[in-house]
Amino acid sequence: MLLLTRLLRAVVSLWVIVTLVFVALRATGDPILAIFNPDDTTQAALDAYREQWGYTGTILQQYFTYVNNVFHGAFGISNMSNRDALSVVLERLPATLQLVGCSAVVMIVVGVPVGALAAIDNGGRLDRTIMSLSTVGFALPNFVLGLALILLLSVNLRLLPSNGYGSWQNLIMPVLTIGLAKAAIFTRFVRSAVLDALRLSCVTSARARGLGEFQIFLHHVIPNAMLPLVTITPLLVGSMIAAGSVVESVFGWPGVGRLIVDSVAQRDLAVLQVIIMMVAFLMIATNLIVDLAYAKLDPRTALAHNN
Amino acid sequence: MNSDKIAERVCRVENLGIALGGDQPIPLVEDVSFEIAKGGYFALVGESGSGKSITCHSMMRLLPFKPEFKGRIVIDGQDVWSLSRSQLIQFRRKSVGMVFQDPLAALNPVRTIGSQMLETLRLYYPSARADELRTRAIDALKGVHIPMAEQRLDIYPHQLSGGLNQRVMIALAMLGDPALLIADEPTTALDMSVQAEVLDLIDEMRRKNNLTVLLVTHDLGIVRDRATHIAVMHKGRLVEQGPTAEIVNAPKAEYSRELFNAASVEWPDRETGKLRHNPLALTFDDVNKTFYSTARDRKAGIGVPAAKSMSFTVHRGEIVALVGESGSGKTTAAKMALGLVSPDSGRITTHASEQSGSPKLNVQMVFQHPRDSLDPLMKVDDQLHEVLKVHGWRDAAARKAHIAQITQDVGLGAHVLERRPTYLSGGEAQRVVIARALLLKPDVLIADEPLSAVDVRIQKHILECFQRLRERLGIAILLITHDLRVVFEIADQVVVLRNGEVIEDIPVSLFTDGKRHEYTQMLIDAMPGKTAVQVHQIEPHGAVATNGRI
Repeated sequence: MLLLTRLLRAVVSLWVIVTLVFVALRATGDPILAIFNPDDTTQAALDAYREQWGYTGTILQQYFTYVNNVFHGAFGISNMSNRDALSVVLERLPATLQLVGCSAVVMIVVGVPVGALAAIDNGGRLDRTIMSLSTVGFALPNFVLGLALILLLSVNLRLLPSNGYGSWQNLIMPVLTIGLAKAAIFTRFVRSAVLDALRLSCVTSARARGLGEFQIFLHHVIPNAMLPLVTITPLLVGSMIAAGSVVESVFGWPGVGRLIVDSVAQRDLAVLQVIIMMVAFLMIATNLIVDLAYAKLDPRTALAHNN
Repeated sequence: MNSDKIAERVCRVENLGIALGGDQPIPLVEDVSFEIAKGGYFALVGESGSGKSITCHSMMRLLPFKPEFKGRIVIDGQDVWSLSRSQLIQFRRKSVGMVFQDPLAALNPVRTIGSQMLETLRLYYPSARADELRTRAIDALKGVHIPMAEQRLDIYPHQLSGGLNQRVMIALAMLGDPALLIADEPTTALDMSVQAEVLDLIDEMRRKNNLTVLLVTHDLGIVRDRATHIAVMHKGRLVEQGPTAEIVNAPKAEYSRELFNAASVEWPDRETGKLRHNPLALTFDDVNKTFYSTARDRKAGIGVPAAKSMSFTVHRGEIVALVGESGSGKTTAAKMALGLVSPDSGRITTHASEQSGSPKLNVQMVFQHPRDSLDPLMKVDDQLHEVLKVHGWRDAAARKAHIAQITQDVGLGAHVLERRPTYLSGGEAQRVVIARALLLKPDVLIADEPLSAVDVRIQKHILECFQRLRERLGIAILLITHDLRVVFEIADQVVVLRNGEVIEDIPVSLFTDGKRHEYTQMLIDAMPGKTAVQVHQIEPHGAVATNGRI
């Protein structure tokens, strides 16, 4: 039942996104004129394209044609490559998923222990150092960190290739750029979540029963600190795709992020449209998973829905 | 250390001093000394902020901050503050058990009862098999009289009632067979009817296991029947200590006398029927209200009833007490009277008198937590002016005169107006809230547990304030409370609620005539310090209104 209502909600969110994309595309002017220069294209040719891509009739008719197309997986033709927009985006997807996935691992592997250390040393020297570094980390723009890494690791030390795709050496620098930047923010969330959990009465009561500090941390602090973190993690992972548009350009990484930059420059609306919908779909899917995970992690919410 | 064993003292605190560290340490506890003999039942009594919780937490080194520590605490032959880290853990496992105020918070909400018990049992039986530990856990739950112990292992704390959770906490604290049990306000977060059961359980544990008990509480009523020794704490110092009988019969310190007076119960014997002939102020007529957690529950009709055919009246100048345990519908009734919640069916009528400006605004509310209901950044004066401005008082001089009059009515000095709420005492803050409610000249004042957040001595002043208001201004007061002592002291009429149903609607003088509904009787029986009541109860109700201590 819970799953069903959540799924329904996800479908509604998707439909809202699809509609918003439609509105945005129409609000920015005639899409055909955006692609073709009217000065060197005949009126007949423009009309033919309008007919072909469903840009005729009233706005409501156009909307239904559009939704129908989307529903059947017809997202239009990319005018950069003259191929199906969906397959243009899909072939870039694995590279981006690889980048985002590895960056998320870096974010968690760095963020959780460092944030927890800061919380345990609340107000101490270690805490202050970590928090200062974290401020520097998220204040630094992505391309600065990326270029600095290239300068250090490629130009000076000649350890890693400065751009390209295909081997693990290529992966290291873009992953570090995105992962460390997000880890800087994530560390703060971990720190405050752990601090809140440490103040819980159940932690004091576990201490009073004579449990060791490590056991208390593992069994009482972490499970309670997880709850707020599970909510924030997908938001950060989502923002990695946005960070990708800069980082992929810096490192020549053939992912969706660079495709966004290219298709904006080329006014390739069909491709942009697919990317927007895909990112929205990914976000909705991850949020769905998080909602379900939350019910598993916090028995109190599970009960609220079963009653 | 040997001398402790010979004297059979389980616990000795010598010149304990605890201060919040820093350049200028803030003393929290000063020069506290006491001893608890083996098998003793020692009650540490004081108001919130008196330092009693800090004292008992320092006995297990559980303070949430790094303190400046002075003195010595010896428990079970160990000097607690000189133990090493690993010795301290052994000490906590074996020598002392601790029970906390809010059992739901003291248990980990995201783990089952069983996993928390097994994890603790594992400390004592590191090599035992899992099923062996499970059997022990079930036995421990049975030992604190938890029914269906086996099934309870696999559920989460929020699925149990507060009383059962506190039993689980006691079972957990007793797993290591400690010499001393520290109970920090173990019944404060519980319903009245459950409080006695939990205290009985602690008594039983003490008898069975030859346990020494240190009970920390703000409520003298609950310890005078049980404790062997009482120590009274005030502003971080012990003002008095001794055997219970001595303290109860002849308290020496001024402060303990006040504390004791406030906790004593006087049987209501004043005449109260008269006010029923006054004009009506508020009527509830067959009011129904059910809460549903989801739209689906609403369809299926599975809801929590907050009012079932609720009918009662409040007359001018009368104080009607709405009594019941949490979940009985008291607060919903108040919200409906204010129009914050609309009833499903039935009528709620407020009868405007000439004195109130508009028929819509003649019900006002006094909230439970005075500080939370005041804006901390705004001067009291500005907050009071704001209320009048919103209701169209344009003339500043008229506002000023009106505010001066009302603050005088509630017994506040003019200096309070210039302050921000942070600089007010609890009693002053509550009176500011009452004054704010009175500004619009209400016919009915609703007070939701107005005394539960202020300490005992202030409670008396607030009650006096209510008394004056109804006498001088003829205001009707609907008093929501779980504390029967307050009811006996001030109310004229009592309405007892259970699950949204009116169980009794009687003058307070009939409350203790022995012919009450069993639920009412249970509330009376569960009242702390009841034994003292029987001493006072010479006649059920006299003909003459003595007006008690007011």
